[in-house]
Amino acid sequence: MSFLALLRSDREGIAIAWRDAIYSTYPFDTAGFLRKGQDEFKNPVGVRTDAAVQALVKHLLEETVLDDVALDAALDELVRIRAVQDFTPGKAIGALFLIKGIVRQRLPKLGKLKDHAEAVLRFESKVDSVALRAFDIYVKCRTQLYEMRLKEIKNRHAMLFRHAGLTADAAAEETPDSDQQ
Amino acid sequence: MAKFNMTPDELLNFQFGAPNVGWMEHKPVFKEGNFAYPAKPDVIRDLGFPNPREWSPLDEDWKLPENWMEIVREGMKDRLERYRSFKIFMDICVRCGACADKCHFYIGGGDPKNMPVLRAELLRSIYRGEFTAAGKILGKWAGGRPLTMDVVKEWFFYFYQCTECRRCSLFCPYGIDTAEVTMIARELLQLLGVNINWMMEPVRNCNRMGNHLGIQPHAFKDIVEFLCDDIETITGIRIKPPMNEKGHEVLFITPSGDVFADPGIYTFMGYLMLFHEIGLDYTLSTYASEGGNFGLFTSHEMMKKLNAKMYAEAERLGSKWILGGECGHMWRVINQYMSTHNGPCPPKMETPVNPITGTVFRNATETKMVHIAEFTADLIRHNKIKLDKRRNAHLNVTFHDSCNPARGMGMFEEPREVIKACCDNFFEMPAQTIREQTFCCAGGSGLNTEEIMEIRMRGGLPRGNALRHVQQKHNVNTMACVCAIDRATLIPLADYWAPGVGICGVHELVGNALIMKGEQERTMDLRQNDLPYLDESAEEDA
Repeated sequence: MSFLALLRSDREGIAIAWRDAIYSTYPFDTAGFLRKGQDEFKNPVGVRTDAAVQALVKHLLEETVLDDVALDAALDELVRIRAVQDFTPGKAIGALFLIKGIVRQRLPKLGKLKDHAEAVLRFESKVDSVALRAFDIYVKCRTQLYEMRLKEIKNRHAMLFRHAGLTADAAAEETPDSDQQ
Repeated sequence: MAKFNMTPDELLNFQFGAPNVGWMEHKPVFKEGNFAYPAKPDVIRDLGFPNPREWSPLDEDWKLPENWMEIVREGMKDRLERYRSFKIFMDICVRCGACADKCHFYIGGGDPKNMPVLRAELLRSIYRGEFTAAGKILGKWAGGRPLTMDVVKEWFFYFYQCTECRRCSLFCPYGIDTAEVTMIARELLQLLGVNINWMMEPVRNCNRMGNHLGIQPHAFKDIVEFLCDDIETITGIRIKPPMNEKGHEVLFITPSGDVFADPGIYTFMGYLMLFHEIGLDYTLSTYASEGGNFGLFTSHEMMKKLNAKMYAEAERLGSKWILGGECGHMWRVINQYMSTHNGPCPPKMETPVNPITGTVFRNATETKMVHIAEFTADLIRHNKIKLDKRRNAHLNVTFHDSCNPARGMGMFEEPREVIKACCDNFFEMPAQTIREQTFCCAGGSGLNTEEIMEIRMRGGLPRGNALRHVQQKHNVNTMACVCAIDRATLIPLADYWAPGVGICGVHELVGNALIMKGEQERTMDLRQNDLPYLDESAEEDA
């Protein structure tokens, strides 16, 4: 049996272990809340994390991978949340690397590690490349935060800028003719 | 630097499992982005508030008065005696946890101290430790703890992560109003000079100039005229709103964000167009140029002082009643505190009657103030205005119940009636996220400042999540609301969690749909974008 097929035989176990490990990156009292709430509106972090893990497990364990759009959508579901929570960048993205430890831990029960050494390395490289994509999304989210801060300041004072003649429209109105008048 | 022989798990350095210290010993870590900036000394000085100074939460020493412990104890004692509600809220919580998972900051951020029960416990533990016999003797075995500098820092950290939205209160079997617990905690912090600039500068400006930005009367008038220029460009009709004029039946007061901020200005244009069309006998005021009241988030005394200008101006101008614009916390102050603070109203004010329909607003008998959504819904019910829904046909609209009009005054139906009269395409977000259960924008109670954008975004996740749901399911592209803070804070919230959804006030939709006597053919909406339905009609004709 191929390495990925072996992992697929434990697919649900791997997904649950990975998801629970990500939940456990939150404070102890919160991990339980994330695990138990199934209502996507009452527990969006738990439900979105679960959805992301399911999609990423598919990507990592199947022979055919997700296309870029689907992969980014799955990562966005997880990373967009962690990018605004109280995590360092490393800990926000680090959730993805947790699957390496989980697979290494569960593998002895499924088969011998040494029989699949090359496949394990290939699998872990795949995790690394997914994490790099996640890093791109993380930076995109953080950049967006700064852009939104700027936009908010501009919106807040929109009419004051106009009153002070500081907007492009106002500048356009200040033609030499209007000055003479 | 990481050692080369670390295992992957060691490198990640996650702390799995239960923490090795209890919540009382677990201290918050301040870093850029997780606190709002402290108030500037000149702002505090102008207000005559205690302890103006330069300080930062990042500093070890917060430069508190030497006798700060005594100040807190006395402040708490004074409030326990003055506010029966506070005493009850300190005593009766049984920590059942019904509120625990109801706060948007907890749901989106996951910090257990943002569970309302635990946030209140930060204050309650000091109450027990300092004011109850059991707490004094048994200490933490009775849920008490001593007052320390770390406690003050913790209060600042968490009571400025509560938007006083009162969603948690809805689920409390005892009816504990956690917003009021936060209000008292913030009052205690004020006594020490521990406060945030985003709240205190608007309070200072309001106190001196009448509005949050401190805009002087002539500039206020100029800006209103700019907006009238825009209305003329769009409709061909020149509106001249009365300003500070005596003898009009109605005084109109709205948050200043409607006059100065994008997109509030389009809502303001909607008001002016509506008043013009129905011939309302009203005046604006540059004295009462702010409906918002950040005093609500500062202290009861400051809330009362800033609110006083409403009745004072109505009396000076001889108005019979006050019509209020789309604002959130303004309405909580009016509905919940105004009569106690500044009532009874001036003797010449009367129970509001809609001069166009004759409807008596008995719900406003006490305050003499009517919400614009109630007023417009009444006009629509009586078929007194003509609306062309086609102008909003490109909008698929949902409605965000702003916390204060929803939970603070129970207004659910009127805004929806107005929206449905102006648009064909209206879709509700899921039931557990609207009406009484509405999720906050995460920027209320003076937290709509940009330096804590990431806190706002995590607190905004529950609202953003529900919004994304209707965006995906019904192609919703617009979220309407009746709150000026919402009109500002929901823009980044939607950009981050449901990109592609725009934000507008309800009366922007009214202004767009309103058919005005003598208007030119409308080709633009209030934002001066082309009206899509015209292109579609032209194509059909061709």
